[in-house]
Amino acid sequence: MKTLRCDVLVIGSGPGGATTAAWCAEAGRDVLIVEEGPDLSIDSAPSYSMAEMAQKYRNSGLTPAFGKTNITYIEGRCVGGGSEINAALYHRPLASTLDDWQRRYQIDGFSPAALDDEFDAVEAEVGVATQPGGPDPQSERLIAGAQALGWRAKEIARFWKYERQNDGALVGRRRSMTESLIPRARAAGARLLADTRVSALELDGDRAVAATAVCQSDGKKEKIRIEFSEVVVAAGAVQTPALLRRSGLTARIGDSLQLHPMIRVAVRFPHKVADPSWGVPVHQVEEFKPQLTLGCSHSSLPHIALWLAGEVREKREHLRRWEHLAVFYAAIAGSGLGSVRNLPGFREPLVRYPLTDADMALLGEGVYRLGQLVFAAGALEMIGPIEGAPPVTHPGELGRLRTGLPHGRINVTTIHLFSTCPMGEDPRRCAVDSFGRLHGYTNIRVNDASVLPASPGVNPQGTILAIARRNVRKMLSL
Amino acid sequence: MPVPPLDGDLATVRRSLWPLMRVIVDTVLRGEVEGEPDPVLVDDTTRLLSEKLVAMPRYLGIGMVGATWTFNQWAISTAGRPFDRLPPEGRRLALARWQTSRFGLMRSFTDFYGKMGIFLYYSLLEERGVHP
Repeated sequence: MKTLRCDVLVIGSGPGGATTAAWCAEAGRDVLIVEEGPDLSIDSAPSYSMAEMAQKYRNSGLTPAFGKTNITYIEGRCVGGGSEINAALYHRPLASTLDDWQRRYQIDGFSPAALDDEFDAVEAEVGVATQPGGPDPQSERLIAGAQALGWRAKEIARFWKYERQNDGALVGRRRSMTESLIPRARAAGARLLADTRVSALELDGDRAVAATAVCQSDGKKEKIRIEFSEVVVAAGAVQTPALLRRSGLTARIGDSLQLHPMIRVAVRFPHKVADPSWGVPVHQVEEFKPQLTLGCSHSSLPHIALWLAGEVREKREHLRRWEHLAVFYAAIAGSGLGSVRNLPGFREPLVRYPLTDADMALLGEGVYRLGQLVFAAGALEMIGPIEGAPPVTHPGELGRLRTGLPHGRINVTTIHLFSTCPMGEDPRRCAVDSFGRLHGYTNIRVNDASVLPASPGVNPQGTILAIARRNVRKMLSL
Repeated sequence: MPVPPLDGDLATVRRSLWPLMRVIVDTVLRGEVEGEPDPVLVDDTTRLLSEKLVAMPRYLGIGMVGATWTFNQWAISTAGRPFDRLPPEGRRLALARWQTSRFGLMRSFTDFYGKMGIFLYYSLLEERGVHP
């Protein structure tokens, strides 16, 4: 078996792993990044396309969290992780959320003021921008509906960079990890091993000494052993606890999965609203945050067809005029606690998440508010979210959705998963300490969405980057 | 019905399941799209679905293979023949029974073929610049 050596092994190359690798490499440490997925450019497939799903999504996008209502979740499985496939929306969580985390989980040095510096730095280092050229037609509907109802709505900044071309046009590009921190890490000497899955960590007392991994190249598999001084696990909220548990590390790991359940509906307007050439719409209703977020989803023909499938008799007529339809969502801060467990003989872990009664009530409220929003914006009908139910054609019919969402008859999805190795000094509920080091171990750290103690109530990538930056700087004593 | 060259993981299972999967996809598309579905697109949608079968977590993939086989045999109890030997109207009814079943597993099965099949079909159309 081939043996590799490094000072710091970083497992996973998403926002947490890329941040860790860049800082460690720039501090002069010999860094090896291991990523299970392939090394692809951001342009390797159109965003939200079937080709992108096949290339960059774990299990081609077919990953469920089981419960009374199953939740389909999406994880990136490529260099750059989730940052390569998400909407790249950037938020800072509310100061009250951070205060609450600090108090409940006893996190040292975690005041909102201290984190402000990290968020400022993330914005500067990765790049955050708003979209030039005004809102897309779908967002215009969201804004119009919110204005009619007296609700606050605004454009959400993104990890994005716009550059003016020779012809004067502004062209934007997502600042995913392959466009920002991974090149920075490589420029500082970090090595990157893609298509390599870490099987387990080898432990010796209170230390990890090596990792065993399988590298795939040209259809051949090769086992390798990687020896290191320190290891940082940053494989995401599902794969990080799965790896730690495969390695025999189980205390408070994978017991507290939290997520943002999301319900989508297709909405028909009397005029064209869907224009996929704009990319993903970036406006959200602020009124009910952080518990509830309303927004618009990517609305290409395949996505609209997906949300209409099996739902309406007139679907053929609708699909002839698919640009009159758009997909909207209601996302909530879930209150349940799920789990991640390995299954003997299977590669993929079993993920469970129970939607609580409170979650179902909040989802119902979300669909109700979403209905109010789109009808105030001029919608003709709202299709979904209850499978087989007739479309809602009048705001007066929304009441039945508010209190009547049935388990198992609604499609719930998420791309925001976290909290499987919560950080803090409270030994009853925290897997890692206030800076990501695994309790009871000297050289094993976690630095990704897993360490978020609870739901941030907003798109979490900014929070993950800010906390990863804070924790790696502590690790390096900077 | 010729089986296309399928290789990679679970190739044998996918090859043996291909004719049945194609009949299910054809039935789904007849219910959803305008006119007669293009046989080339039915083939391609089936191929992509069979790739999804391999890509999904193995414990689910095995379940879906079993469910596909069970779905075929189930029609014997309700229509006297396996699904793949039913006339088109019989197939539509058999699929509808599972789509509206009170059992979540049966609906999950039809979701895989229905929703994912439709997504892939329209993705293929979009790739080829064809609009409905």
